[in-house]
Amino acid sequence: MSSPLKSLPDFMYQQFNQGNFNALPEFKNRANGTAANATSGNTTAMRSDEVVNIPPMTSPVTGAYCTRCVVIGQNANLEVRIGAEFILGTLTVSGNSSSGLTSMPSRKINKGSSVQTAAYDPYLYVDTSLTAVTPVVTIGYTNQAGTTGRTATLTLPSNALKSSAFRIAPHLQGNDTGIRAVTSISISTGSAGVLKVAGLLPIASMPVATGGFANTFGSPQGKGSEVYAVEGGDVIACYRLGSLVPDRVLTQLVFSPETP
Amino acid sequence: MAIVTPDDLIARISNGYDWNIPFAQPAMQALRTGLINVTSHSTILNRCATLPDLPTLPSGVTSYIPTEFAIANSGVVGFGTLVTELIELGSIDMATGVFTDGSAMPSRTVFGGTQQLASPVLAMFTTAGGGTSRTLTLTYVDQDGNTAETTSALTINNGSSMDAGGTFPLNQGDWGVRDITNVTRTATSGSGTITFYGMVPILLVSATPSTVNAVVSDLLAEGVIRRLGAGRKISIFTVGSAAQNVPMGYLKMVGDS
Repeated sequence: MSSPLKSLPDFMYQQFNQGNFNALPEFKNRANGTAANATSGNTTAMRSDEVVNIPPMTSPVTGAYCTRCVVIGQNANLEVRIGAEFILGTLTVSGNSSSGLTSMPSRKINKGSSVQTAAYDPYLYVDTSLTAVTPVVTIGYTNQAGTTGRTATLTLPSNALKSSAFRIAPHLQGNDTGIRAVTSISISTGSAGVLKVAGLLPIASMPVATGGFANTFGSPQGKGSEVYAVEGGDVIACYRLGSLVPDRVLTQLVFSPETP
Repeated sequence: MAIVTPDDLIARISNGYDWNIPFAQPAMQALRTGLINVTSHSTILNRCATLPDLPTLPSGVTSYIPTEFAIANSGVVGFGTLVTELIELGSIDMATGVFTDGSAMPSRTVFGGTQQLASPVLAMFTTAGGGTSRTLTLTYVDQDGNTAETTSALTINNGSSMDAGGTFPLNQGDWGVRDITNVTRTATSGSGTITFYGMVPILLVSATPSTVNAVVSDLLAEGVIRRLGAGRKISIFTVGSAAQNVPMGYLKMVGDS
């Protein structure tokens, strides 16, 4: 196997031979969101309006790792969490109807074998603005260890706006730390709107300091945390924490390929 | 044989196939007036230095590979820096409203296959301009290659400096374009040429203020592998700031075989 995580020669060889994916996306929020509170994730967050699709991979390329992630904010004092995003379920408020309930994927971690992943920082985000007065959202899930029948409950602010994102982690059952799969989603009240449960495999979690400064999450060889492989068609999303106003971050993302 | 390992790289440097391109351009002596209305979800990109077009490839060299980049600035506040190859997607004469189409984003090898690249659109005055009540509308093919679509009309600042630019807001959900097919403008008065560029990034990094050491980036170790041919245009931008400063630094390259 030739993995960019294996050694510097492998790192260079894979990029020279197979070609990396080097993109400069702007992740934006064009309108205000809704602040979180103690019953809805504590920390205000917003999901970016844009996502980046990982390009298709041609054999023998089987995956890729993010080897550079740099973020520059137009404004100051944000934290961004960028990751491969997997939609684990959708709730249509009108009719209290859920769909697309599914599991986190299997992916390689640190060039090891492919394993069932769990989302350790899942979000409930507003895909279409809600018409609902302090609705209670109940999420049934399988936890990080594979235990079924678990429940997370969030009480959202009234009429939450599109792109608002509410952290689920503070409301997981007991000592649970993550979600492998979503098995049900329901809402207590409301007449309009769409909610989605999103799980992230993290690429970078970093503060964006004084507007204009770059923060770098560089090559992974020196990182102690796990590094997840992405595959063609995976979606890269950006969540901004600590602000609900319109803003944008300019990002350089570099993904380096891996072959067997 | 092409460079694929650190040993290959060292061998090329040892044989003299390396270059150092310094820059210290007083291109931002005064506060820039940004082209784009920054409240319209645009990132300020002000060009602060332009490197010479890459020269004809010498004998024995098939491409240039950037290996190291350093930058500091004369100001007392650091800023973000973008080093990028520019692809001219088109331009519009603000006096006549005539759009001149340019290139589409190029295709490169990505993950073992050929992929057309995508980029945010950089809009920038390239001949001096002015006017009032001006709006621009772009028609573009998005990052996924979907059928061309048109943006909302964007009001731009009345007075804008040369090389003062920003990213042009695209439709919600789109982060980049593969091509621009048309640009229209409405104006009660106007002059100058606005050029629209795609960006194939080399590096996004901080530039430190004059009070601390310059930031030096090892591009290959950071995973930024690029092969550049003759004639490529590389520019350096400050990101998110229109403040005055003088950037200085260098870009090192090695010649591939």
